[in-house]
Amino acid sequence: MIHPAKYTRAMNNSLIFKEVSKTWRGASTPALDRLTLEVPAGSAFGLLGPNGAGKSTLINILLGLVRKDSGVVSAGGISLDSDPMALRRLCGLAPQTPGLYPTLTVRENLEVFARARGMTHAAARDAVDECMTATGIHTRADQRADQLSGGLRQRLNVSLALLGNPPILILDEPTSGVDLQSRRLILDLLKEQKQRGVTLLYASHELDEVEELCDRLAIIAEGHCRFSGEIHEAGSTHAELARHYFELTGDLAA
Amino acid sequence: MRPFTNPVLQALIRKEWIVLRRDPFGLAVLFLMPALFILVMSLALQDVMDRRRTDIREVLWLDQDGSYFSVELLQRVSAQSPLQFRRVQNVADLDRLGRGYAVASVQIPPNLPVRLDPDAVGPLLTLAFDPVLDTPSRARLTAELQGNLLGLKAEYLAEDLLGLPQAEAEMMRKALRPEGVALDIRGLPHHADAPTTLPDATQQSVPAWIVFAMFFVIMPLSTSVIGERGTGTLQRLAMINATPSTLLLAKVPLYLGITLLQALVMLGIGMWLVPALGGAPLHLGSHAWALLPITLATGFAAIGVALLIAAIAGSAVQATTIGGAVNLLMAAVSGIMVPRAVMPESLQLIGAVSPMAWAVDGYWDIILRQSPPSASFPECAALLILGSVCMGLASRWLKMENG
Repeated sequence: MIHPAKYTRAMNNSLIFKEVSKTWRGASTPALDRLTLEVPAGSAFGLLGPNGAGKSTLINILLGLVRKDSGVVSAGGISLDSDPMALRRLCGLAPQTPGLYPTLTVRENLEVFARARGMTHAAARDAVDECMTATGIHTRADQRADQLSGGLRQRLNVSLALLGNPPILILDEPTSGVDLQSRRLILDLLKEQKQRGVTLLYASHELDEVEELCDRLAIIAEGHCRFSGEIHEAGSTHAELARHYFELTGDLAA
Repeated sequence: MRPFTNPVLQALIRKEWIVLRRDPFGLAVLFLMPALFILVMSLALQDVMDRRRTDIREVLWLDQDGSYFSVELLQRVSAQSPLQFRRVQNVADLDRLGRGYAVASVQIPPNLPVRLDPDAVGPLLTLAFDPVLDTPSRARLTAELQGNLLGLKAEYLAEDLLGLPQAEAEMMRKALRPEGVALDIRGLPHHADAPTTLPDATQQSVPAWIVFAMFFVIMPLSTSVIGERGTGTLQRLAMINATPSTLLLAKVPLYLGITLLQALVMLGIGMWLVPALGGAPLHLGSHAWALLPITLATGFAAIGVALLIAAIAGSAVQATTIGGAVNLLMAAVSGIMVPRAVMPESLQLIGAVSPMAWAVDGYWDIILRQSPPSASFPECAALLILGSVCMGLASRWLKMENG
């Protein structure tokens, strides 16, 4: 089992983006253009948008992995500009590309990051066991990451995000290319995290996943936030939500 | 936080160890490739290098005087000596002696006629020997110079003092005493056990291919970093506040260990396997421990270059292409593939700015020239500076990637 709820809604684990802009060197249009968003503490917040909309850039800026040109970003009341290290400590990340060491086993991958977080050998072992059990990959503990299926790899990706029980989880398309079983497991696990008061920022293409998991969402296109609010405000049915999404993004592939 | 109590660094070093252990084939290539080169080149170059060793009989001649006496001295000594005299124009050209292209050098300072005066003090010229020149040849060259200088001195006196028999006689006697033709004779640093020959094929090949092998880690190391950039592990590590410097530093201890092991294995091959197959054995001399600093410095420089390539390359293909090209170009101009002695001077000058050439020179200082251990310290310093600068740039580049 993952730790009992250590972080609750009482803690202000909200995420705030205010007027955030970013233009990549050599690009003629901004990747993010004065984008403003607020993710309330303890909410599951869907970040929807077509490829290149700026979702990953926004996540990377939040974590201080990409430098913003302007704007204000904070998480849990900590400003990115004043203490990026403390901000990062609040967050667990499941990046779009899983970020695994291919020749290391599942357990070794988790141990590297647990030890790198400063956990003792015993604490790391316990934390690793907990995360593997939560994502159901404990049976593959000694299998190399490059021998895992896409679904198991994403489960390991999510396990790595859960290490250290961060109060904010950031997930960048964690179900892309996974089998139905893994998808279900990941979504159930995230719901469980949400119930414990963990703030979720969930970037995805999948409308039905966002509908199932999230209570709020933002639709981003061409670096602008086209919509931000409660799910039901975007559409009371799946079809309505989809139509709204296409209208705002012009993305027929979603 | 001190580097080795940094949990990120410790965890990453452990991770590197596991990753390396899981790739025995990649590791084996780092050892087999240079070992084969050493065996092949030591045996293939044996005849060529032996011939070269007996061929080099050149004495560098720097005449800063240009008077009748200095010109005449060269003519007379050239006519008598079995050595070949090569006129050079600058003091810097005398460096060729230290690099094994000549057996001795003669430097005649300005105003030789003034110093031929019986009352003048100080040496008439400076004579330097390479350690490889044997003692009889040294004695013969010294005697030829002294004998001809005495003759020229007598001429000078006879001409200058004609008509004053009493005084001249006295001065002539004084001038013709042996101390009247003092030479400043210098040997390059030379050890009692030093070989009396130029590098043989093994002495040429072993240091050269050790250095090449060390720089060969550019390819696996840079592709490993590129792989981590591509799979998103660097992003995840950045999440736990691992700085680019820490990520790069974690690569150093194990790869440095590999380069050290490479050097040990290659030296062993030169000492035992090459002679077993009919080649000349490698002798490390009495300062073998001094190979450690140059080995570590070379390994550090190679790792630094590898990390810089890894940071700036956009893909593993780019990294291996750039790494391979850098490696081969450096090897080509540094005397790794072709001994520098047979290269044109312009190429030798280009080779002198190659880190591989610094490293090979450092090894030769110890193995071939039998110099004191400190002789390789300048090369060590240059390599350490190169490694540090490359690592600093790589770290800076990775930071800049954040936009």
